Amino acid sequence: MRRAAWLVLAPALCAQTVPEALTAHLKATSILHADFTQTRRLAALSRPLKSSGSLVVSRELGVLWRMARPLPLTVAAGPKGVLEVDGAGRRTLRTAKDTPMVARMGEIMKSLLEGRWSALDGLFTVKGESGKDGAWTILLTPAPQTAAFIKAVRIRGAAFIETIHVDEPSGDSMDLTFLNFRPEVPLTAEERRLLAFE
Amino acid sequence: MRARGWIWMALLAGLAVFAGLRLASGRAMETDLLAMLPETEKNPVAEQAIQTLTRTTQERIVLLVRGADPADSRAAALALARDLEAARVFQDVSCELPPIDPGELVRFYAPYRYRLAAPELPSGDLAPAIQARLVSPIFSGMPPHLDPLGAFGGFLSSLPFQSTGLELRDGLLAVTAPDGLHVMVTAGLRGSAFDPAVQARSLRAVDAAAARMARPGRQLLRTGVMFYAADARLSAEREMNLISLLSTLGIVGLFALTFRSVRHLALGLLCVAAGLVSAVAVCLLIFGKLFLLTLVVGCTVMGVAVDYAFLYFAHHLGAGEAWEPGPALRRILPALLLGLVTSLLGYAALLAAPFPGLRQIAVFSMVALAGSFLTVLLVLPSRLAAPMPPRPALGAALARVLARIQAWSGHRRTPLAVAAAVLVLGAGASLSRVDDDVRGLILPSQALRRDEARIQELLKISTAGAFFLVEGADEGQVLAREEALRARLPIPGVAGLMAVSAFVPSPASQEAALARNREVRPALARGMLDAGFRPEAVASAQEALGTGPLTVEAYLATPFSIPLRQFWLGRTRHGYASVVLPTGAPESAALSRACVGLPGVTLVDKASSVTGLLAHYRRVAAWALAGAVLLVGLLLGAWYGAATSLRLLAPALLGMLAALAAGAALGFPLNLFTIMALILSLGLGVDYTVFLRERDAAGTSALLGVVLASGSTLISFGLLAISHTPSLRAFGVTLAMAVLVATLTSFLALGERA
Repeated sequence: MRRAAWLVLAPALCAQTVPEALTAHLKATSILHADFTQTRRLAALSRPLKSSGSLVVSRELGVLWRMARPLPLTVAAGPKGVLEVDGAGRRTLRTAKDTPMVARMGEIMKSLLEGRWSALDGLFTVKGESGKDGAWTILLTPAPQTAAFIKAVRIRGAAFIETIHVDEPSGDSMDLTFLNFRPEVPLTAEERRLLAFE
Repeated sequence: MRARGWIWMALLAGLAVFAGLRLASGRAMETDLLAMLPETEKNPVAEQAIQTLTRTTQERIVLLVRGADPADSRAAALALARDLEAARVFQDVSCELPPIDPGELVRFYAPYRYRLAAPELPSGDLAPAIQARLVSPIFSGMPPHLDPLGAFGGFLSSLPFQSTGLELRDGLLAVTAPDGLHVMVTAGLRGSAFDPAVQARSLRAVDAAAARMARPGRQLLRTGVMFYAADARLSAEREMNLISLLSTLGIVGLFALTFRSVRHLALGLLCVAAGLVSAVAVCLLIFGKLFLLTLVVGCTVMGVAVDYAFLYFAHHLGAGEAWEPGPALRRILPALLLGLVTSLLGYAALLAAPFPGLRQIAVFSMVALAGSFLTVLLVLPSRLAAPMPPRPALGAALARVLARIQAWSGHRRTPLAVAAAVLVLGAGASLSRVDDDVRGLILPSQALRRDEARIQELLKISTAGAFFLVEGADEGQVLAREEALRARLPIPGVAGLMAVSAFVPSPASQEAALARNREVRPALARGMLDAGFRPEAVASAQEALGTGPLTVEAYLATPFSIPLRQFWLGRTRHGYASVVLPTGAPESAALSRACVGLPGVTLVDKASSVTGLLAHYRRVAAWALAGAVLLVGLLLGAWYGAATSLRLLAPALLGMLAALAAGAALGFPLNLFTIMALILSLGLGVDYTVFLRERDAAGTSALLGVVLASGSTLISFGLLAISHTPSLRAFGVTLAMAVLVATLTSFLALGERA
């Protein structure tokens, strides 16, 4: 849940956010390619762990997250489940049918892809602040059942979501930065295949 | 004579009051079809498991709602659930499912994590694998230094919460199908599914809610024991009313045609009523409740119960002015008694099998016949003192028929014709196919069956009712044996196995995981240091290997164990037991192959067990039929000599052959019920032949009696052809056919008067 949080929130990259006033500059796209860098700061680690790669958010099919560094790892997450493919090509498929957690994630993700932030009701309370030049910040405060995994989530963006910062109760944190937005580039055959869990 | 008649009438009145009060209380009917079937399991624990499972499933109804589109499906389901809730006739209506709280899962399983799963160590350097876990967005449930390779996370995400077709969609349980999204709504009944009052209330609520929900493009599928029970009861009542009405009309018609006297009609109906009242009362006294099947078959007994009255009245009519009630009765008593005894013997054969439904039918029929017979014996003579006005026209007509029959029976070509008929009918009868399927006894409405089949297909839940019973000396052994069974997957047609051991590994597996975790610890610690973990974090991960062991008791106390709680039978008289339920559309044969060689695992499949029992009883009944033919043949042979006894037996045998041939032509299978019909037809057929044989000088009254008696039997058993229950239809038609042919050929076998 802790780390899954941003994966679930990734659809917000191309979602219409609430509060409405903030969404004016958030571009609604059906397919968005972007690159990401992720920094995890864990109390248990002697140095922050950086990873980077690219991702695709498809309103129709879900999120495809492709880490390149420190080692190749692909995660395809859709309403039907989550597929993990490691560098050696080993596949782990968890379907929403078998796993309540994956089902829950899939549901939230689907709603966000459809632009319904209300899916986060019961998990987070959503508050927004607007900055200048169409920039905005959204703060997610966890509801009791989520509080065990997440302390706070801060999302910043303008036309697109640019950063996601997650604080965990243990003091660990995660920063995600998105860059090189490429809206409306059609999916490649391989991306389609991965998102269809084939 | 008179006094005994009055005592009998008073006793009947008492029985009538008792039966009336019990029936009026609404508690005298047993609509639970399972109650009618024999116990199939030698293992009492298996019977207990069947009871437990059926109880829990009986108390719920399942509805699947499909709308024009997914949003409409949702709206329709919520509206339906709201309406059912508002009707206030259900314990609970559930449509929205509280989502399983992942936090709760983690909190529950975390202390035992080293006993649940152990990491697979990749060969070579561990650091990259550990780093991959660290940066993967997949949920782990534990801080990374406590589950560096995600073994525990893997265990959590592999828990088979739903091995059915259902999935959670926005808090609703639903199935996506080519024809749209089906949302499930279930409701718990307030009371027994077999209680007519509960049925009426619940059905009204469902129908009203369904009507309010109805729009173009929407569809509602329903299933549940309650629907079946209500349907079976209503259709049995409908059939019973129709058959008894038509039977009564037929009997009244026969009286009107023959005797043209209200007194005879009233007395005849009194005999029938006496039989039925005593049968209902005695069955209630012995069994406590009446099966639906008994009542439907009971209506047909009317036609046999009236036989004795007919035979007596035919005598009354034939005797003319020379009528003396006492001597007349004494004259026909041997034939009546012989008829009663052969019929009772036929029914008594049904008592042999430990089959509650059949036993009740047998007791009902025997008591009905005896009650009717006693009424003829004790009441009729004193009520019919005056001779009957002669009916010369009828007498002359009967005499002409008799003469014609005797001419035929003496004809030299008759034996040839009979031989040809035997050949043709024998060839037809040899085409009979055997089918013992218990479902022949239970035929719910086509609509219900269609709905159920569709729901099964959608939910991938088999309602065939087959499951595995797993037994062991203790909890641990049961879990280990469940695991051995789950290791047999994949099984053809089985989507998954719902089992407690999927959530609580056996002590042996827990120990193995613990040992493995102990073993990989040093290597894992080195890998964690290489992957960039601080030494103190690695050290803290070298904590004690958790609490142990995870018990079923602890699991059953969690809210997420609710779907599986009924599967854990716990302590039984043999030790411990559990149920493992296959989902999907399993075939009985594949399931029984799957548990071969697994100690303590038995396949419990009520439907096929009952079918197997029915097959066994069919074979027993076939031998009983052969034995009965032999016995009756010997009796007749001792009485009349070999040649005559064959002539007397031949009509009944030819009737059976004809019935088998007709059954083969109409597609009735050969099973316990058709063989029972043949056994009963032997008794009746021999009755009529003997009665004709024992006729008096003129012979007309015996002929009239037999025509009336067989006519009424034909009417009432033939009416079972309108029954919707295949076994009853086959039973009735087989019997009617056998009696018809036996009666017709018994005229040919008249020969010389004794």
